[in-house]
Amino acid sequence: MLDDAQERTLAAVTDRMVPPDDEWPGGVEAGVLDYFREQFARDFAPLVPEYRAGLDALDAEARAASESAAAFAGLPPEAQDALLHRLEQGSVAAPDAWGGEPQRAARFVRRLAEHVAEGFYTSPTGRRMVGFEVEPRTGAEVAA
Amino acid sequence: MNPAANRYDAVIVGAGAGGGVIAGLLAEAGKRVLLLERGRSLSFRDVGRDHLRNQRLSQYGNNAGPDGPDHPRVWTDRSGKAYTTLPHEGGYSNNAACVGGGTRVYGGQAWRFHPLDFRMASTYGVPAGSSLADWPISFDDLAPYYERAEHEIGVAGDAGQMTHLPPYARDYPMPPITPDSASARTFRAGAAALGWKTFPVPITVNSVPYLGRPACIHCQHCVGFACPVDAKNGSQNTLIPRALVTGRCDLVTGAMAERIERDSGGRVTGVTYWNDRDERVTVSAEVVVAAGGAVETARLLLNSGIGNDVVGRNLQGHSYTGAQGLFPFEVVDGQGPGVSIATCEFSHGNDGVVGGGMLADEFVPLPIVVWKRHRAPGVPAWGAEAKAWMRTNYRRLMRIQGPVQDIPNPESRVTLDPDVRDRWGIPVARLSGVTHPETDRTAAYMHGRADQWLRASGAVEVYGAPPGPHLSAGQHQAGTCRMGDDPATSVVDRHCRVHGHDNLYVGDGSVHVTNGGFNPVLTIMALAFRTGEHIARSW
Repeated sequence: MLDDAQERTLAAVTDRMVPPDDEWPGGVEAGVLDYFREQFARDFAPLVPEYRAGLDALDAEARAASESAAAFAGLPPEAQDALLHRLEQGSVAAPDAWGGEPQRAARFVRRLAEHVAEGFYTSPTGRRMVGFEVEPRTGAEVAA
Repeated sequence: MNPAANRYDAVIVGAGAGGGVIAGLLAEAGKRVLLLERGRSLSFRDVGRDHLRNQRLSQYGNNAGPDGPDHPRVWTDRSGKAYTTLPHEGGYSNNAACVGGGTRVYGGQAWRFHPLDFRMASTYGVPAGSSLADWPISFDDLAPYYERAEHEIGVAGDAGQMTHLPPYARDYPMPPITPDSASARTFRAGAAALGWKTFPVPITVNSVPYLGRPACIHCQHCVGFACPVDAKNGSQNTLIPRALVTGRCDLVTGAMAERIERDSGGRVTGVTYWNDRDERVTVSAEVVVAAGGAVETARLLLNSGIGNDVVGRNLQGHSYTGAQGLFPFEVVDGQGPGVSIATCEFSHGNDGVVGGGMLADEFVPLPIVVWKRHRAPGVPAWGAEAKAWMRTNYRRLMRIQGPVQDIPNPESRVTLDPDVRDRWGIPVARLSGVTHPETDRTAAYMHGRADQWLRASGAVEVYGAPPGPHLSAGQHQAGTCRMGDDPATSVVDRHCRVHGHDNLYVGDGSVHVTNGGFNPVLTIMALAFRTGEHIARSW
């Protein structure tokens, strides 16, 4: 679905959307990329072109913002966050990458945030983190 | 196929809360019954535990039917623009399609309506633009059947504490399920400070072993899911098995009813349906019961050319209103089902509004539901702060909510879409209309009461807005074949028999004249006990 560069960008964004901290893993370790893989073949299939274009555009934004950066994934975390916040507020540095429609940038960041959250808060890690059961009390009593 | 197999005493369309009960009563009364269900019989594993595809959150699919592309509907927005929708999408107003219907996966709050819920027009007058009316039967008429439902389906509660109602003849068969949960303790204290009475929520979940099935194990996947130990009581594990064990009930799943057949007079003669091999089958019957829910029953009658102009009108579900509270301590203790305390202080008698509603705490919420629906204002959509907020507050959040009496209006309705057909070529339901302004006003009032209860109970932040005008149907769908003595203004009589058709009955929430300020399923079941008993006695 995605090329290697797009995969790297998606992983980097995922760990900014749900970053690892001292106690709990971030989105990537929690399996959010698996969630994306499954959904790109399922409910997100119609969104794959938008994802490909959007992830490419994040790299273009990274390059436009920093001469040293080759891609979004190469920016330090603080710069990644700043870039995403900037796009959320509609400030676009590489309008061509968004097909000349800069409003696409904020929409893409919002969509990413929601999808990453879906992957994380339905994962065992996300559920365990908030205190929701992961190994349900079903035991041997489960009816088939 | 054996021709004799195509003749039944009764054909029931829909194996949900109502149809399942009527099937059980008629089969036990010696009738040969065909119970048709368009969905399937779903095992625990079939229903699954997908947090994004369930009856509580149908983000990308549902878990209790119907299968999407085969069963489209059309809904129209406030400007009249029409959209073709699938079951997991909002405008569709899905409940479920499987053996047990919504009861396979519901939360199971098992409320008796309030006596005044049956007399809304007499109590409040008829607001302009509404079709508010009294029921032709009273609470007292239904009370014995509420009791049957409580005992034969299985409800846990404490009748002695239900002082907003006339006294019960018999207590519930099981004690309340989690009367001292962290949430119950919190809101009991808050209500006491306000001088409000509270009590445990009656629920169709076994608090102790009952009717041969075990007690609840307090897992966290209750509402929207199937029970892993079968401690949640619906028609699929009570009255439908009772029907089947008689040997006189055939349950046919994957059966899509196309039309009710009738003779040149007023009698119906049977049902034509499509079986799961896509064969069109016509069965004959002495009695037909339509019990597909308020949307599909109206559609079936309309597709059969049966009934008057009232069929499909007065579509209502519930405006669910409430507020979210953030506490400085844990209010979610993780003991399922979760909902455990309610107040009926505001069911009626509220100055300046029509009706009111019950308020209760919430089921154990899915984390993704909290993320999507219950984040506090100002919590960012992503990042370390958002993650920390969820980690800190998931167990400190509680919702107080309840259904308000929807004020019915004739322009909220089910019609047949002129263009869209389902997989079998049958015209689909088209839903249109929005809540009456008085419904929205009552919802706003109850939102304020929820806010008050949350704050009095210790919430440090309260948020959420009451619902505005919207199409009201969904899981609590009702009203489209309303009951009444006057054939000009109602579809069925006081025995739920369709006016002008001596042997055609409606056995679901369609007959509700008003939908009460409570979750409606126990009323659907009680009416089904009453209707089933009436059919069995009268023929």
